[in-house]
Amino acid sequence: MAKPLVASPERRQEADSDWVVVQRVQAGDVAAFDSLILKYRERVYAMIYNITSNREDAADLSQDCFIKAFQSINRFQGQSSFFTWLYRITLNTALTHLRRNKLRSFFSLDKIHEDAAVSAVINQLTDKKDVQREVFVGELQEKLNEAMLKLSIPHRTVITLFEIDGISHEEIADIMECSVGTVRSRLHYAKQILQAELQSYVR
Amino acid sequence: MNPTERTESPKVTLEELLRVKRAERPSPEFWARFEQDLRAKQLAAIVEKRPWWVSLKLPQFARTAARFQWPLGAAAALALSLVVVREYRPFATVEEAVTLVPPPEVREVVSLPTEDPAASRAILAVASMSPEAEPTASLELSASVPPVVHDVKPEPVGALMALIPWSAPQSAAANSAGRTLVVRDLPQVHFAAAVDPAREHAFDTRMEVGSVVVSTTQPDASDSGVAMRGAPASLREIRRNRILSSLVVADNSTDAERSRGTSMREVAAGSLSDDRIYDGAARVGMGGDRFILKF
Repeated sequence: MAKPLVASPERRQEADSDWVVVQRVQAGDVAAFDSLILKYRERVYAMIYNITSNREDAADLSQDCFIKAFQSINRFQGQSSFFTWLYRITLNTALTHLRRNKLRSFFSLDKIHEDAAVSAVINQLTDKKDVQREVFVGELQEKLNEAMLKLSIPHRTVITLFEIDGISHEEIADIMECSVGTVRSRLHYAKQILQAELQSYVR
Repeated sequence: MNPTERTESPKVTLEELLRVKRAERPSPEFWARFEQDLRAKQLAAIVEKRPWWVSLKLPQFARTAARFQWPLGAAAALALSLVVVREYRPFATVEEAVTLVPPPEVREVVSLPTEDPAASRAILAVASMSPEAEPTASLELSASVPPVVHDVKPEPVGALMALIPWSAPQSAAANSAGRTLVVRDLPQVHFAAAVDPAREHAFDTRMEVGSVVVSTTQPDASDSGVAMRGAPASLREIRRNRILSSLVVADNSTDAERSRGTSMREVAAGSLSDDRIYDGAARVGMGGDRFILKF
């Protein structure tokens, strides 16, 4: 097995376990692919959703990604981690969709599931209660997605992968097939734009 | 609600604000429907026949190029058509024409005022294509310079000659008859007469083609038809000469046919003088949603 290009030990361990499953699928155990779908479907969906800001498109495209991955899995040689390979497919699928639908862009947003951290952020932003708070959260969500869509596709991708999915610079560079310096530069520029767009919310 | 209505100033960072975006997640029911749709798509993908290039062990760029097989194929076919149309000529080269299409059992006597062998071969080639070569036609000349005699051995008619409908059967007839033809400058006479019928052209030869007698004097260097003899014949000149020579057949016909031939000759000469005919770029055009190729 070729050495996977992953950064952290957790990722390496994850890549090794994925490689075992991939080898089973390549050997003919088609059902083994379901475990990979279950493991990655939320991350794949979230990546596409945060790039497109449309949940219907995200659902269709993430299904297409898994179909493509399933059809091409015999060509996967383990030179990178399965996660990186799947993300590359996901990114290319999303980019192709965005290029084909340049003129069609509208929101179709998922509901915000508040956990403790998110509630703390919202509470810092407003002291409203009940319905007024919900209205505020809806407005905030809309502003966030508008600001994201004002970024170019590479910048949006970098900010999504780093800030929302929590992927390291090296892995982003591997997924986007560019240098780590480019990733950092794009991330810095994207943050500057978002800061300007969301200046009424951030300090 | 406008965020500026807030009583307090914002206290969150951009990273904290993006956590709100991270919290946008679909409901658990969504995943049930997602899995159902994915199963259906997987099944369809298994049943659906995949493109042939996917199964090939090609490099990535080759697979990408294979997706554009139709545009690439169309472009290649168009380019081939343009090249064929542009490079079309009845003979591949003048030398090939002489070697491929020798009239068997024909003794050609050609008198040339020039020693240029290329020009001689060009004249020979055009003369051998002339429709004047009727089985009964006898061509005689009295030349002011010693004639050059070519003895051509019998050979099968070349495949290239078979492409020319009006010359192939006559050549075959001439082959079977084993007749002797004496030819001199006939294409040049035809060519000059077709280009400028009103002008008297100077040739130094007296020719008889059947009942038609053409008396000529010394060639004039300013005459376009004769000037062609001295210089190596270009492909365009050979084409013009061939087309015009075929039109001059009407000279042996009745008055009505001759007048019709004259008008055709004028039209052809006018058209041939226009460079658009063999200008490849002018043949190609776009009209609305159609691609136009003029012949």
